[in-house]
Amino acid sequence: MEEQVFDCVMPYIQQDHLNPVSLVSRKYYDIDSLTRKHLTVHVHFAPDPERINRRFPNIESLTLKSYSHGFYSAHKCRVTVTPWIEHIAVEFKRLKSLSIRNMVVSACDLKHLAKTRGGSLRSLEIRGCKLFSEDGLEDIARYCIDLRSLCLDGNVIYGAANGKWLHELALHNSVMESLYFRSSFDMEDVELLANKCSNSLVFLKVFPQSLNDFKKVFNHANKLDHFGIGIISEGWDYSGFEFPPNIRGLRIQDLGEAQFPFLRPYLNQLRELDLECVDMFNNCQCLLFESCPNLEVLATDDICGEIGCQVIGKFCKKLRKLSHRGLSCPNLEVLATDDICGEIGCQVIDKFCKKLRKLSHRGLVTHMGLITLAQGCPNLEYLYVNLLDISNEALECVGTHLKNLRVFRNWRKGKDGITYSPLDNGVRAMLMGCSKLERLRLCFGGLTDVGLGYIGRYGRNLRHLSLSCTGESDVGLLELSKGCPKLRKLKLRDCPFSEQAVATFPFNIFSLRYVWIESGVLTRVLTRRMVFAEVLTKLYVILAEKLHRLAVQLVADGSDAGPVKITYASSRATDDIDTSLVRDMVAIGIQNDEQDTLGGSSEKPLELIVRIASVESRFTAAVSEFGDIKLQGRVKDGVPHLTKVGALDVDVSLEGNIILCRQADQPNIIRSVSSILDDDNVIINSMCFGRIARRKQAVMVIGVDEKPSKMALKMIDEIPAVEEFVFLAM
Amino acid sequence: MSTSSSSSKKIVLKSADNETFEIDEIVALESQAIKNMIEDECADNVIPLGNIDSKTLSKIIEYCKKHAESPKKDDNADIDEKAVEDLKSFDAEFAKVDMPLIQDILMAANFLNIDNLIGLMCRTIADRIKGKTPEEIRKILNINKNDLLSPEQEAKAREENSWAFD
Repeated sequence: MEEQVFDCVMPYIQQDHLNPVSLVSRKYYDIDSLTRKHLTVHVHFAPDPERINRRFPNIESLTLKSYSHGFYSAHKCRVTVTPWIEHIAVEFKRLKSLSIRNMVVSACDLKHLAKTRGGSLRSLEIRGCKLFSEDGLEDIARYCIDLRSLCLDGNVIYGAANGKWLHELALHNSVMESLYFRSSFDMEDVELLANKCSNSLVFLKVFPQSLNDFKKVFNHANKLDHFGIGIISEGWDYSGFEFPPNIRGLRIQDLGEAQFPFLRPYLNQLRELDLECVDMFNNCQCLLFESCPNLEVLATDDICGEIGCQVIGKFCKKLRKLSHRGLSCPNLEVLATDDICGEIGCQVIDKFCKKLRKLSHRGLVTHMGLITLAQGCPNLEYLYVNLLDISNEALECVGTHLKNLRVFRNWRKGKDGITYSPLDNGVRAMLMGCSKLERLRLCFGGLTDVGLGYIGRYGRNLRHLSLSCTGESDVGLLELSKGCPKLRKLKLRDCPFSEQAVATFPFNIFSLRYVWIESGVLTRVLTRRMVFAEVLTKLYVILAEKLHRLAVQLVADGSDAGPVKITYASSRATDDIDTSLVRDMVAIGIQNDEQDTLGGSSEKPLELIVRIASVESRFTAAVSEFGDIKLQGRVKDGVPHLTKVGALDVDVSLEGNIILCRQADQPNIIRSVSSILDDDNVIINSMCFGRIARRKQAVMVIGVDEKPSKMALKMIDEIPAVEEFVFLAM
Repeated sequence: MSTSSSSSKKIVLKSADNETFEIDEIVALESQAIKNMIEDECADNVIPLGNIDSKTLSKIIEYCKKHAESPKKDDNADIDEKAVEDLKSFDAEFAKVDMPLIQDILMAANFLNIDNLIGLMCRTIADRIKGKTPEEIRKILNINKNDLLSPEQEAKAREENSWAFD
């Protein structure tokens, strides 16, 4: 019954909640594997496409992601998409939608993709990638005839951008619904595409061109509801110009006051507005916002500081997402508006706008502005603001009013993190109020270790956290790491935490993927694997040293020892351990005249083998069938272990000293030896036996914490059954 | 189908534990499966439902009664919002039962093919396990301990989940 129930329920479970469900039971794991449709893969952490295909064979939509280096930084991409494309070409049979982000994409990759999956691909997104040329896009345009959505955004394209691909697209495609690119193009191609796709095209965002040039496009694409980017030239005569009737989203550059009236008929129906305006009178924007009662998303360079916030707060009641790209501004003027605002309040907007015309200029938002915004726009889900200052009151106000806030990112003009009096309580109030908050960027510093503890405790849904100049000591980071159970990314900029704390505490959070550390100009990324690999590598070096030390002690007195050889056996690559690092560190770590080599296959080491050739041993059982002293070991559960002595398998931790004992396989030996050690107050930490055959010879390996007294050693040696016996000090 | 004469017609359902329920045909027609039986004239006076117990069946009848009484969306384009709200709050109350019964209702609704009820039960279950840990979900759904992934499998899946899959 359970299975049937889950079959029914499965489609009702949101993507975000599937991961825990997959762990519930074997059946759930199987059903999830078979039914999962969408997947986002972080290529750094899952370098193996095959494993993903094996677990989720029916994926329809795949997003491949590498680290983002920030907007306009696509040239920094290093991870190539090639292995994934090669795999997609033959597997992922149901793939309809592919998104590639922050990776290196070659023309061959796209050609391969187009030729193998062209018929089935419906959506392609290439974002923030390094492309070598536009040539591959021509293949996409030619072969992917069922492509409904194409998005090319924030990519760096080497080689001439010739726009030929767009021409191909217009020739071959008649089903396009959504097209987004930001490279120069020939308007005729867009016109042709709009004509052929007039029944499907609803979303068109292209490289900025004069709005006037889109007239024909708008005539064809009468279903269009989102459009960008149109430039409004100064003195443009807009008479007779019309947007498609369903237009709901607009992105416009250089809207001047004189052209404002032509927008007026559409303002009521606008849900999204993105303004890139260099020179715009503030009151014009205020008027604009006043006339957009249905606006849900607003992006702008400038919201006129305080006043803009007030207008938006008062009139744009449906606003869910506000993104504010604040540019440089003379602070004085904004401060001046702050003063005015404080005195008069926000009732008489017209008055303000008149005043503002004189004060002018794009603004930073003050804490007062933030308060007004929070009070006025209770539906806000996204809030990006450029803050001039901040206060506990403003943060509390955000917590009180913005119950749906999911993303809150703030910047400061110039350098982040000029610290104010502690904002701990404000941040606590905000997190308690905004319980849905998933992404938080705090630029202003001003948090003590106590405040970091609050983030841990109340940031229950935080996934991304970015902190600047925050905290006082490692204690703060530790406190934070006790909470934030859903945190995936942690960004620390100029925070006063030690290397060790950053590499350990945050990884106590199970879901954490990486810590991004910026201090000054240095940027580092720490992943769990790297931290783990580092620790593991160190442990293998310790193991090598220990085995080496043991082996040397096994050489019989007066025997002429050959070189010590260290190699590794690798049955399979289980852990992420840096082989070359181990090699280097072993070379540095073991300083003696003998030759140390660490050879082996190219796979990752599992067991280290230490050999000393052509030599007599104090302990004959340690000599292998090839006549050399041979010890083998590995790291288990974070502790170096001895796993083989000569030809015999053993298993003893190498925490303390070692006693090797060869004896006849007969009863009571163990008791005799252990009672001698007991009487000597020596603690046995591990013990292990190996024998060649029943009632023949056996070898006993005992790990002991202390060195037994000479008397005790002598007593063991004198047990009649004991044939050979050595004590090896670590 | 829903003329006044047919609405007065009675259908008798018999549960697995042999309890009988006499209901108006119009209520029974909420179930696509019963509707098909009636239309194909393969329904006798008594329809035996051998895999549904009386407790579950009475809940289902309660649901169907309410929904049969409410105006259908396709009956009238502008049904008043009050009726919609009323039905919504009925559904919300209806779903406030324990998990085993929800699962029983879901299975029965699935068998009887009552779309709305299937949806309601599924949403209820999805809501209850939303944001929960695997351990909590196991408790909620009362998963058999023998069906669990082995610790190794779970560790592997968990690692994949946390690093690679969103």
